[in-house]
Amino acid sequence: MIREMVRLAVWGLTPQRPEVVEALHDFGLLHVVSPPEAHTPSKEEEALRFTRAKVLGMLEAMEWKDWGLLTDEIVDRARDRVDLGIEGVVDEIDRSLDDFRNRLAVLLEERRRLSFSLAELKRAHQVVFHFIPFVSAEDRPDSHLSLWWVKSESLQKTLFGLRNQLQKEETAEEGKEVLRYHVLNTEKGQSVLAVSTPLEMEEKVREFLRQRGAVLWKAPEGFQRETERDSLRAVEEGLKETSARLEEIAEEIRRAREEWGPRLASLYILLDERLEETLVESGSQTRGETFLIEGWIPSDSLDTVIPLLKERFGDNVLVQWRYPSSEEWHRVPTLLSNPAATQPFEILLRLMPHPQYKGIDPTSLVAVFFPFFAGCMIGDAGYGVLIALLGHRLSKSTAHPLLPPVGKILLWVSGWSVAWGIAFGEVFGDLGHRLFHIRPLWVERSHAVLPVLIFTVALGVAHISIGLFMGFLDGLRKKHRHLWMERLGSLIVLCSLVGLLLLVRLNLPRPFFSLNIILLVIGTALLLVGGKIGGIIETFSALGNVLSYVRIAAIGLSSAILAIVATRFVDVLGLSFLGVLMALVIHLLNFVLAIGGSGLHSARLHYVEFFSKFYQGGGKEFRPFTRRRLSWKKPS
Amino acid sequence: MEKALLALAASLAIGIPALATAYAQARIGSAGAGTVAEKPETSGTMIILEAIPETIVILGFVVAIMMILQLA
Repeated sequence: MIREMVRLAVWGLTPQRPEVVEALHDFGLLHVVSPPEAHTPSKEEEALRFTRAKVLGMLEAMEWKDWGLLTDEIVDRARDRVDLGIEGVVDEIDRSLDDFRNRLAVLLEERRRLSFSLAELKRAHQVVFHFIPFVSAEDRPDSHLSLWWVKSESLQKTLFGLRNQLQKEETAEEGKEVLRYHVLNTEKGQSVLAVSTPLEMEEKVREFLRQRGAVLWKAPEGFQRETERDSLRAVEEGLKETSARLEEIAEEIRRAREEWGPRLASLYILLDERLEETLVESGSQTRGETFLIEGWIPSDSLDTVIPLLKERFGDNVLVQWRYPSSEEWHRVPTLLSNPAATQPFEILLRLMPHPQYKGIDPTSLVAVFFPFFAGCMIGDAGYGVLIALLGHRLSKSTAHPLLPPVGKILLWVSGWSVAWGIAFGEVFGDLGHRLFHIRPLWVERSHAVLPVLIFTVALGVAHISIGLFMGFLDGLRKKHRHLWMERLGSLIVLCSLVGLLLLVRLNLPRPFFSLNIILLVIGTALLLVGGKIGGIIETFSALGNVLSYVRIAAIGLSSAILAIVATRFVDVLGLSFLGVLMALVIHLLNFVLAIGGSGLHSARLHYVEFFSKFYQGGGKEFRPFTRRRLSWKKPS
Repeated sequence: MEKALLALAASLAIGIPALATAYAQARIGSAGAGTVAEKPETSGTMIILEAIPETIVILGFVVAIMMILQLA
């Protein structure tokens, strides 16, 4: 149902404008309409925007993401402590934020620097870990040790050349090994070569390796020492110290996040609310010593708002209201209001453009047909019970605001799944029949395909006819002659064609034929007057839409056969672990497909086939001027 | 032989529209994903566009079922 709206005008004395705006903000019932003139931001507005952006930036820098845990109590506590309406408060908050931000920035900068250093140290540690034993063994006063980056493909050639070069040296003592080395192959086609030679050969080794394109390995900056062994030790210690310091910083930021995150988030909300109030104040019309705020309000809320305004401001405010004229309907915001049982189905309308004021809210019809179709597609009592358990679990969930309505929709679907499961005699496919000899109340759809097909086409005729009838009513209400004539014409043509089909199948008496032909002529005439050739094409499209409902039978059939196949695995593989496992896996797959497929196709039948007959989007959503409550979401 | 031809015809009646639908949905889906990424409010329209080619398979299914019933 779409709530009826009235246009409300609140007149008051200019000095009292902030108080009146604050009161309207507290009531949270008015959809404020500002005049279309260009708006020049005031200094206060700019300061609020700037501070709000700064707070959000700080929350993101602290990586605070617990918007879902923010409660009304925390925000209300902050609201009691901070009055942003007092002059200079925003500037004072801004200065405090700067102090806090500077301290946070120091920590974040240190973390950035250390993270970079840690990444370098980790790369170096691979070398340290590999060479420490070799370096420790070779670290003698009479030998020289160095580490080199060498291309892996030329490593053997380089080593061979180096050995030859050193053996030519006369200083080499007879029988003493002049070259000792150790190699680490890294993943990028590079190797690290540790070379230990007598001290006097240091220059020769350096020269030779440089000529072969090798590059001297160095510990990261800040960890280079006189000897390679000391450098490697420094890297190892540096790695431990840097990791420890990073953990300390992470802990400090975590503490700051836990302590300041909710406070800053509350402050963000207060600043946002204050900014909204400022915008409403600056958007109100000033006439001499008075101001005027206009907006839309649900008509049944008048009894609440007017006495409250009078109670707070007495005769200093004047309240006027009126119903919108038909010329204004396209400007009136739309507020849906449905009973608790059907309200969850409103989420299915969110994918469509918002309904127009004085349009049709199809939520109740969706609540009837969506679970009916989905249940018919699933058509298995066993799956229905599982869906009920899942729906119950989701309806109690607080992890995401969308989960409870989805859970409630699943509960509806589960009811119809069980009902259709009884009609088709299916409990986890044919398991119910095998174990408990359950028989179908109506037909076994895996064998009797035709009755289910005919039933779904009949369902399509009924659903499309309801859609066309709604479109006809909508056209009448909006006094849109072409619309109602076209919808009525389509409806009459559809009924007459169904009548003719029944006539042929059931051999009905001749007068029925004449009646149907007369209906067909009347319907075609209405179509031609209402929608011309387009109306005729629209009717053919409606016939195609009716056939589209066959998908209910098609998807149901595939689901039923897959469930039977799952149980057959036990026949083929025996009552073994593998047989039962395979049966469970196929049932699980079928269950997931049943939920996904039935939901998607049921939604599609509504969006494409049903809504196209009457639904007109393009309406404006009702957005009351209200304080942030639990429905508040993370800012984008 | 007649039965075999009927079975082949039934399989073609559903197979060819299924391929055509798959091709159409792949093209619409990739374009739709791009559109929804830029304008999330078009999700409803995109679902409708994505769902439109499915009707071909449904019609193919009806034809195939009618053939199979003749076979029986």
